[in-house]
Parts: sequence; C-alpha cells; structure tokens
Amino acid sequence: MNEVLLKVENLKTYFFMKRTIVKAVDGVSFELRRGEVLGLVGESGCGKSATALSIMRLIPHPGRIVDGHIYFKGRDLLALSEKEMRGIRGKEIGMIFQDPHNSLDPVYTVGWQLSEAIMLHAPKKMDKKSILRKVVDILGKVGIPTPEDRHRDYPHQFSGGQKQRIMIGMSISNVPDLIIADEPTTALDVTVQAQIIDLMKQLKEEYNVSIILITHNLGLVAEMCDKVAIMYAGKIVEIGGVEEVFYEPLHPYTKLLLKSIPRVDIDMPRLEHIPGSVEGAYEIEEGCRFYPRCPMAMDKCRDTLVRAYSKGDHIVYCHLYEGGEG
Amino acid sequence: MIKREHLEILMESKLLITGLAILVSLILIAIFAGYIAPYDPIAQDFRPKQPPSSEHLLGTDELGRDVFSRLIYGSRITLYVSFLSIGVATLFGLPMGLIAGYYGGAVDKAISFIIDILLSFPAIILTILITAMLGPNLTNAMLSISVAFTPRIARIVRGQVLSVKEEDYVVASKAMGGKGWYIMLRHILPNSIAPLLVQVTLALGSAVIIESSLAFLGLSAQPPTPSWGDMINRGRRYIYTAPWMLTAPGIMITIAVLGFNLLGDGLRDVLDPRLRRV
Amino acid sequence: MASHLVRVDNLKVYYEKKTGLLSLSKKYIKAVDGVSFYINKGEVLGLVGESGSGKTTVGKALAGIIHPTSGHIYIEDKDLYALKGEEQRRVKMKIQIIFQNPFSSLDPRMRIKDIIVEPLRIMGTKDIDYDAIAKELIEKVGLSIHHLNRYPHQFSGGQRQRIAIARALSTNPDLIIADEPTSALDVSIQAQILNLMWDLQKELNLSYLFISHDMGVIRYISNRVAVMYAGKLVEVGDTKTVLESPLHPYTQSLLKAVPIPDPKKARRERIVVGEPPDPANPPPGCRFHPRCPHKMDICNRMEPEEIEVNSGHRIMCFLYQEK
Ligand SMILES: Nc1ncnc2c1ncn2[C@@H]1O[C@H](COP(=O)(O)OP(=O)(O)OP(=O)(O)O)[C@@H](O)[C@H]1O
Ligand SMILES: Nc1ncnc2c1ncn2[C@@H]1O[C@H](COP(=O)(O)OP(=O)(O)OP(=O)(O)O)[C@@H](O)[C@H]1O
Ligand code: SF4
Ligand SMILES: [Mg+2]
Ligand SMILES: [Mg+2]
Repeated sequence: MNEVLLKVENLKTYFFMKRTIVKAVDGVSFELRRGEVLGLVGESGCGKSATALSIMRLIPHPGRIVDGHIYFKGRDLLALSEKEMRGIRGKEIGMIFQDPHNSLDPVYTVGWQLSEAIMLHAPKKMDKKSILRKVVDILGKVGIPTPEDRHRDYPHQFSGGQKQRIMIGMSISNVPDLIIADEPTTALDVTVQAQIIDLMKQLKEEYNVSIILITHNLGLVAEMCDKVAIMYAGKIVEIGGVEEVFYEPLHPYTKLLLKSIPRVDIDMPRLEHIPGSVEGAYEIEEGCRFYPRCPMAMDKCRDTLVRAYSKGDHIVYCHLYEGGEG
Repeated sequence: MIKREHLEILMESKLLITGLAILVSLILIAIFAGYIAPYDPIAQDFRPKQPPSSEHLLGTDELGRDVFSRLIYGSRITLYVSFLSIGVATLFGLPMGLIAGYYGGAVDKAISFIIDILLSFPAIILTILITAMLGPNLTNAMLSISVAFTPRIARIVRGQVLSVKEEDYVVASKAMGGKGWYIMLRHILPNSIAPLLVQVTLALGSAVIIESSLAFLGLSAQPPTPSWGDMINRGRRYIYTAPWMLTAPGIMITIAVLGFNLLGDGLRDVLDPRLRRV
Repeated sequence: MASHLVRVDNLKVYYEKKTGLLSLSKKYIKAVDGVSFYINKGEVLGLVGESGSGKTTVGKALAGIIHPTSGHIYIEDKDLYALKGEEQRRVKMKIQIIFQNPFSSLDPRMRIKDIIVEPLRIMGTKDIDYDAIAKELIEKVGLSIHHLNRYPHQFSGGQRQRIAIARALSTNPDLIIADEPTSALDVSIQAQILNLMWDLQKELNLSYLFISHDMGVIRYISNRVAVMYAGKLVEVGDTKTVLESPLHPYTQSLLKAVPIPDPKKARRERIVVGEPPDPANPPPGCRFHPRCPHKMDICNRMEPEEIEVNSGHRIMCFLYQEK
C-alpha cells in the first residue's frame, strides 16, 4: 500500500459569529494515501468546504481552526508559518473551486493566468518561450482545442466547462501531490461533468496525485473514488472503501441517504426520505448529531458521546455498533 | 412589526445611531429655535463684529446681529428646504422610475431620455440656472433642487425596479395574472424601498450643500432671513477681522451633511440583507 | 382520439438580442424552435436537456409568462394565446408554475398566508375565506398553521418549496409546471419534495410538466419523457423505454454520462465530445451533428423530421429515417 500523504486528526474549525459559534468542522479525522481518491459527501452546510479550506489554511474570518492536526507528508500544516504555507498552496496542494465563472480573473487572458501560476512556484527563472510552451501544453492536456491560439483568449470567451478545465489545468501546472476539488462539476451539465471527471481520472493515473473530491453527487463518488467519507453536521459519521460504504452502509444516515437518491438505472420503490432537517444539530454537544432525525435512535444516543467503531478500514460513528469491533 | 431583534440591529450600527443623533438634534434645534436662540436673529441691536463672549457665544456680525441666534434659526431654512425639495423630487421621481423600469420599451426610452438630459448637468449648475432664470427666492431655490434631484431619484428607482423585476416572485405573480399596477405596488415597491431610503437620505445631505451654495450666491432665501449659506457669504468678507462669522455656519453645514451621510451609510448596513441573515 | 389536456403545436420562442454598434443589428436566440408535444390529464411529462436547451422557456410559454413567437398551445382544445381577457385568465388559472430557486420565488416582504392565496386574490375571487384556504393548503404540503404568519426568510429551502407548492395548488390547477423544483435542495430534502409531489399528483389527479436535468428524478416521477437539444425536441416517449433503450444519439450519450451511484456499475464509455451549441448560432442541419458519433453526410445538410418508431416513441434523427 502507498504511503499516507495526508492525515487529518481531530480537526475543529469554528466560525465565531456575533452571537453564536458555528462549529462547522467538529472533530474530523481521516487519512489519505498517495494516489487515492477520497469523496467527501454530505448535505449543504455540513462542513465540507470548511474542511477543505482548513487543509489549505484559507479559512476566512470569522472562522478559525481551533484544534487538531493536519499532517501532510509528515509535517503538521497547522504548525507552519504563513510563508511556508504559501509555498505549499498551488505547488504541493492544488485546489479547484465550484464556480468556474468566478474563479478566473476576467481581465487577464487565460494564458497569462496560467503562466502566473507556473512562475509562482518555478524553481528557477524560466524564459518566456518555455513558459508559453508549458501553458500550451497544459491547455492541450485539459482538452482545450487549438491551445496555441486560445491561450490568448479571455475567460468569458470560454464555456463553463472549458473554464473549469482551465482551472484544473492551473491546479496541476506544478504537478501537486494533492488536489482538493470542491464540487468541481456542480454547476455543469452531465455531459460536461463527464469530461471533467474523465480528465481528473486521467491526471490521477498519469501523476499518481491524491484527490479529495467534495460533492453531494453519490454517483460521482461511486465512479471516481476509492474511499468515501460521509459528513453530517460538522462530523464524519462513516468512512470507508467505496464498495463497503455503498453496499454495506452502517450508519443510519448513510443508509437513508443511499435510499433517497432517485436512480436512472433501476426502478425505485418510494424514495426514503429523512424526516426533519439539520436545524439545531450543531447545538448537540454530547449525543449523536443525527439523533433527532434517526429512525434507529436509542436513549443513549441523546446524551452519550459517540465513539468510532471500525471493521478494518470501515469506520462508523454510531451507538448501534457498540459491542462490535471497537 | 418591529421586533427586538430589529432594534438590536439598529443599535449595532454606530454610523446610524450617530447620524440619527445629529439629525434629531438639528431638527429639535430648528423646532425650538425660538426658545434656544438668546436674541432676535434679525435685530441689529448690538455692536458689529464683536468676537465671541459670554454674552454672544459666537460673536456678532457686521450689522450687529447675534451670530449664534442666526445660526439656530438658519437650521430651519436648511432643513425645510432639503426635506421639502427632496420630498417633492421623490414624489415625482419614484413613479417615473417605477414606470420606466417596469414597462420598459418606448415608455422607458422617453423617460430615460429626459432623465439623461437633466443628469448631464451637474446638480449645482442646474439649480443655479433655474433660480437665475426664475428669480432668486426661497421657493424657486426649492423648485430648482427638486428639478435637479427628480431624475436622480428616478434613475435609482428604475435601476432597482429592473433588478427586482427579474426576481422569480415577480414572474410568479405575472404567471398568476397579476396586473402591472398590482405587481408594482405589491411586490416591486416594497422590495425597492430599502435602497431608495438610503439614496434619499444621501440626497438630503447633498441638498443641504446645494441650498447653502445657492444662499451663498444670493439665490435662495433673501436677507434678512437667516440662512447658513448667506452667513458664509457675509463672513467671507471679514474672514481676517471676524473669522467666527464664517467658521460657525461652515461647521454647521458640515455637521448637517455628515449627519445625513452617516444615517445613509448606517441604513445601508442595516438594510443589507447579507448582513441581516446572520 | 382522446383529447389531451395540453397540446403544444410547433411552438417557437425567439429572444431578440441586440448586437453591434448602437444596437442596430438584431439577432435572434432561437430558444425554442418548433416543439410539439402533448400532456394527458393525470400524466407527468418529464422534460430533460442540457442547460440552455430551452426547457424553462417551454415552461414559461405554457404558463403564459412568455408570449410565443409562433405556434399554438391548446389547453383542453382552447388556444391559450388566442383567448382574450377573462376567458384567458380562467384558462391560465388552470396552469400553475413552481420555480427552481425557492429563495427567490417567494416575496420576502409577504407573509406565508398571503403568499399562498395570492393567485386567488389576483383572480379576484370573492366570497371566500382566504385564511381557511391558506390553513388547508399549508397542512396539505406538510407544514403547520403556525407557519402562516411568518416570512419566507424564516424557512429552509425545502420548506419554501413546500410553500411554493401550496401556492400553486390554491387555484385547483390541472397542470403544474415544475421547473427543476428540487435542484437547489439536498438529496434528503429532494426526496421529501418528490414524495410530496408524487402524493399530490395521485390524490388530485394532477398533470405535471416536470423539468429537470437529473435523469434519476425524471425516471422516478414521470410517465413519459421529452428530451430537448438546442431548442428542439429530439426524442419523446414512455419514460422506461426512453431511459432503458434510448434511440437518439444525444439521448444515448446523455444517459451514458450520468454517473450511477453503484461502484460496480461505474462503467461509462463516453460518447459526447465537443462543446454544447451556441444558441444564437445553432449548427445547420441536425443540431447535434457536430457532436454525434453516428453523423452521416445528410446530417449537416438537412434537418431530420420527427418520426414515430413505436407507438408514442418519436425521434428526430436520420438514422431512423432511412429505414
Ligand atoms: N465565512 C463564513 N462565515 C460564517 N459561517 C460560515 C462561513 N463559511 C461557512 N460557514 C458556516 O460553516 C458551516 C459549514 O459550511 P461549509 O461551507 O463548509 O459547508 P459545505 O458542506 O461546503 O456546504 P455546501 O454543500 O453548501 O457547499 C455552515 O453552517 C456555514 O454556515
Ligand atoms: N430573457 C431572455 N433573453 C434572452 N435570451 C434568453 C432569455 N431567457 C433565456 N434565454 C436564452 O434562451 C436559451 C434557452 O434558455 P432556457 O432558460 O429556456 O434554458 P433551460 O433549458 O431552461 O436551461 P437551464 O437548464 O440552464 O435552466 C438560452 O440560450 C438562454 O440563454
Ligand atoms: S441526425 Fe445525424 S447527426 Fe443528428 S443525431 Fe441523428 S445521426 Fe446524429
Ligand atoms: Mg461547500
Ligand atoms: Mg431552466
């Protein structure tokens, strides 16, 4: 098995609002090996982006990482200086954001923006010609037709899917070890989404990069990930290999989630839906945060801290499995 | 409808509270000028150009009138002119903008054409032109300010309407068969009021400056009516021998404008839904 | 022949787009360019297609929000856009619409009880107890009467969508146009809304035009499905037939691109290459030809006509015309 590239331990990222504290990430732990793809799934607001931004150390005000460790190639990122961190961002860890329309600067050509990304981390000064060659090379790699002309175009001259592929091009320009893709295809059509996913798979094969894919599309996870972490209200409730989690889900939330997606390939009986909403879940300190909506809830779920129970690499945080392998 | 949380938000905006405090004080001063001012503002009872003293807090002017009393009474003209003229401008500008923005097409073209022409003059030039043409007095000064601000208000409303008009709830109302006037009054106006309020408050501040400038040029209220602009104009001539004549009204104008601007900016913060959602 | 609840006949909707200096030259975006279909009473027709293919525009024309450039929409055999005044309004009342974004479709300054009955108020229905109707409807969509005095911002996305559904039900419509009603919601909430819409449809014998780009949602909710590509309907048929054995090359590649939440089925040989078409400049001939793997000579010269391969399964593609 490959070496562990990233190890997140008990990460806590809180947003300190005027009246309340939003515990967006509240004790998240997972590891990612080299070349592995991890899917991070969960409802809106459950802390997926906050987890990603914590790894990048880009949590905006009024948020703060209050506890935990993020070991990347053995070094704790949270102990690095901002300057050292800048050397890692964009070079060793690349990030792709959800909205392709806002993440490129409209006033510069895409070629210029790409070359900036390249030069920022170039080990030595590169001459214009070799930078241009690299830009054209990357644009071609991400499937932009006639890159030798199109690098002179501005972002608005590209479609949403093309812009997203250019963003991916930027994030791989320095061949990072880890790419964090935060809903990279949510704004795109399925046909275009398929192109992006194919591109990411191909990059993974070619460079052996690790990827964290944040999405709420379980289909994408099934297709592209080796492991999946299911988040609920700031915590991971279940994590494991994709096949284990999809075929033998343990956590009641995961089970319901998998039965609530209408599928194109099979006839579904009535969809399961999860009653209620996440509202209020973040206030739960001691018990399980899914308790108010859980059909399997027991008394102790309300007030007893949930522990991790594992079966090999498959870990679940739920009282139902107490007494099982711990 | 006003709940505690609304008041809390209001109290949190320091800008708004400061602006409001300034304006409320000014309005109280204007209303109770008769009780606050120690002397008659037009009586030429005293030795001219006395420096500030305990008898005359801000000295006297070149005709022997008490500057402090004139300053107090002067607030009346300033507030009266700015509120009334901006009120009239809103009365006309609001429906103009609403209709232009909602109906679009030829109506919009016609109204926007007028707006653009009027807007091509700086407000101050336009007001000077109009008062100079109609004759210098208080009514014409107000009229000119109304004319200068009507297109400004109309343009703001129109822009607001154009954005609200695209909201799904307006489209939904159309789909239900809602008529133009119904949609405008029921959906578009209530949802455009907040930003308009901010702009009107800022316009009030500008009106104070313009009125003072007109008075300075002798195009507004005629002597001996006390007005800050006129006081500055007089003070200008004695800037070396009686600087208090100029400084006092200058500071008052600044405070009044500051009051309106703080209130406007404060309102903008408070009414901004992005800040409210938290 | 049983008459249909809705019949759309050669519908065209063009948007004018001013271009060039001083907006002198006009260009047309042919958002919907000759679309025909029908919906029966009590039937759910799914409408799928890429972003920009014209789905919303079809929905808006049906809801009476956008006047068609040409073509006809018949509601129970009455030509919607030929009717005048009161009669047109009565027919329009039979069609209601639910929007995609529950955060912008409810007026933030109105109370829920007023939002729900707004269609009735606009209709000018007299002698009815609006509050009683609002109470009945809010419970029907699974909320409670305590919610009636609140404002939209106090609700979550799923709850807002329920309110929008209640509003749509207020006039006792025959047809509800649902424009991606769940695409802004989380899957668990989406399931709640889909189930609600499913139940209401059965209970009230409603018809839906259900617009979505999620093929799973379409399979779950609709009886028949219509596939749009660049302003044209390229394939219409029974949902199961179309999704399990699609005939049009576009539908085929669309379905291949849908990721399936089953790790072992994570197959996928992709077909679609190239970029979605520019609606202002659609390709000549078959609009799909630049991306089509089965393209023939004729495809970029002529437009294929719609043909019926099996009863009710119609396709616009030369592959099937040869035979
Ligand atoms: N800048 C911020 N200020 C205050 N709170 C924030 C901020 N960013 C995120 N949060 C809060 O942190 C929580 C987690 O947010 P996050 O963006 O990580 O969610 P997410 O899982 O990425 O959701 P989505 O699927 O909608 O992107 C949310 O409750 C959110 O309200
Ligand atoms: N008001 C408008 N003015 C001009 N063009 C418009 C307007 N509304 C839509 N269009 C254009 O018409 C075409 C069809 O748009 P429509 O909104 O019907 O697509 P859609 O299939 O609903 O897409 P989506 O899945 O993104 O909602 C698009 O190219 C769009 O840009
Ligand atoms: S008509 Fe030709 S180009 Fe169009 S889908 Fe059929 S085969 Fe492909
Ligand atoms: Mg996010
Ligand atoms: Mg649409």
